[in-house]
Amino acid sequence: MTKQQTNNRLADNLKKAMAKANISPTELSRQSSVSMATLSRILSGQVNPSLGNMLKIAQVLETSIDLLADNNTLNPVKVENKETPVTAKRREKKETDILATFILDKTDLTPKEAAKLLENAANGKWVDCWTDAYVDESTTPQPKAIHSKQIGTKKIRVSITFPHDMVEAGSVTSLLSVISASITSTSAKLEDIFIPDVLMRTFKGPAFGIQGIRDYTNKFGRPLLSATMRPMRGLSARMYGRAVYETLKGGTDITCDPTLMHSIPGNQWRERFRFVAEAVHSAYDESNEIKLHAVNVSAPTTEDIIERANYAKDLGLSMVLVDSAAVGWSAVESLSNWCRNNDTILCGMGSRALQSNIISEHLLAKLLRLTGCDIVSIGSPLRGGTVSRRVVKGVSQTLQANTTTIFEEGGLMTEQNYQGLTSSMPACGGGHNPWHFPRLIDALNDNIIIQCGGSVMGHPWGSAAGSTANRVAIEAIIQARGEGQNLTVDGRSILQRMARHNADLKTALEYWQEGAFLFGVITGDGEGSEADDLDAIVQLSAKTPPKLVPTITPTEDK
Amino acid sequence: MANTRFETFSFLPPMSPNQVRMQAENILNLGNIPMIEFADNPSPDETYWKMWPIPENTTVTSTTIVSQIDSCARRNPYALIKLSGYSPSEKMYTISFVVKTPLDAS
Repeated sequence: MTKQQTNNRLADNLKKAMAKANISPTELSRQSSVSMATLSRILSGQVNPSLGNMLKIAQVLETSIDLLADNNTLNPVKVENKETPVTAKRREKKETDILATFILDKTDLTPKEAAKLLENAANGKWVDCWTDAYVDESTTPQPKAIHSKQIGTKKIRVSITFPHDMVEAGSVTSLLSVISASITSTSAKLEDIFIPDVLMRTFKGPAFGIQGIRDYTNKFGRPLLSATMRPMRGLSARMYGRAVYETLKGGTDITCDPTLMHSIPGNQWRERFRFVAEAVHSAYDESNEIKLHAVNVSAPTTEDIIERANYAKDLGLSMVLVDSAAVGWSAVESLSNWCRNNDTILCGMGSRALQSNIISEHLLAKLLRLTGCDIVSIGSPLRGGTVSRRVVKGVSQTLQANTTTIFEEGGLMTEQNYQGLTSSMPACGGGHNPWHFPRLIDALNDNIIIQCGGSVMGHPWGSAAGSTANRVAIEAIIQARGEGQNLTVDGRSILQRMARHNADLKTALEYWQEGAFLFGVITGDGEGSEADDLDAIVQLSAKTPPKLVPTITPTEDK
Repeated sequence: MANTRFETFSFLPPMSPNQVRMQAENILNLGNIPMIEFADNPSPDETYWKMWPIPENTTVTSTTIVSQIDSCARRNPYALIKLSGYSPSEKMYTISFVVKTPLDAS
């Protein structure tokens, strides 16, 4: 039999199968993703079709490829299960699948094209290979796009399932590596990952968690107060220790190294650790409270990180901090294991902005909880409008709850059961002063760490007075809430009443403004020597009109 | 002198009997289990203070708690007395603060 005859026989069989399945060539081409031109050439017997194309066609027609190629029998092709469309059968999420949600922004693709693009990228397979024939698809499921939706102008949300056994047990690195393969050659942002129960149970989570931190430090029923030391550079190690001592003595529970302070000339890490340990122990003796200082152990290599953490432990410090985004996931997991074995609390902080274009804020928090960070820094619900408040609420739910439900405004795209994983304590950061505390505690409740380095270190009477002011404000709010007062309504009067008993708080309330949120805000009127220096470096083009900056007039609070 | 400051509410002025009663009521309203502990001159390392029993056979109200705090203070005039609320669902204390110090004794 010549090749031409074989092709004609194949075309005849295919036409019969199509008639049996009641499917038009256009529809067949669409469903099997074999181009119309190729299909018409196959049907007219002009070409010897590739195995891959025939497999695809056979799959759509729900028949065996052998029957199409059969040159002896002209038996009608058997068609089974015609009621259920093939596509619907293939595209569904199993209970044990990982589900990743991506958002493509500013894209020119249609939802279908986007789904195909991400699915192919996830499979890492752009052409049909001969090795495909050796893979049993029924026992080896591949990543599949199951959902694709236009959610805005040039904005598409795509969900892709991954079989759970593609990811190594208990490894966030492996999880991200597998899932981020889909982002290849697209500008997609990873929005959420659903982790199935089988995989969730393989993560250890934080060693202490909220419950452990509170039980260990003996601090119950109120948010903890934390202050980050300033300035970042220029202080000697001894003077830096003095700042830590003053702050802790005044009533702050936790002090932190800045995340960008590693080891610099004039303030080497060993010296810094020694003086800080001295400061913590003195403050502990003085105040009759357990005090913590988180030393920054971020270092060039994981071995260095562990070495620094060991030194901190030898000095009696029980908390270390790491710039989680900068050191990388495996380093955080190594340190997390070290911390678990050495009874040390781990803070994963800083550099959220480094990854925020690729990974959403609450997903970053979820991954840090999985790697085992006891304390995770999050944004402030007061910065920005109600949108920010919802997002931060979503992030704090991700860190604290055992089960989360779908909460799309807060960024939670899927339900998630954490299977009893230890909760992390959110540290909401930046720019708070006592005026903000009622709203902050109302939004996020007790189990948080309030970071207010600015209003502690910036108090006119020094950081001990600043600590006392903030601590008194927190306790007054908690006491008033216990007595049945509403924080949104009575917040201001609670603080003003307590200011009569405490001079530090009174000064702080006079010094800071309620509306002023001192983070990412440019203060000053642009006059003065600093602004003059800036004039020299700012180059405005003639065509660009200068930006209109609204003048901020602080309101007087009485 | 004994250190009379201890953790939560230690930076506030001493609580009036009425304020203590309201806090006790809040603990009961939240469904938490109240607990009275006392210790002479405790160090922050002491996790376990001695426990003062709250009778279980009657319905516990804020009045019961306050009267038990008072009798504990009469028997231990030089002790710090702590009132805590334990939440079985959260598996930790939701509140814990010193209600009486030796300086408060009249």
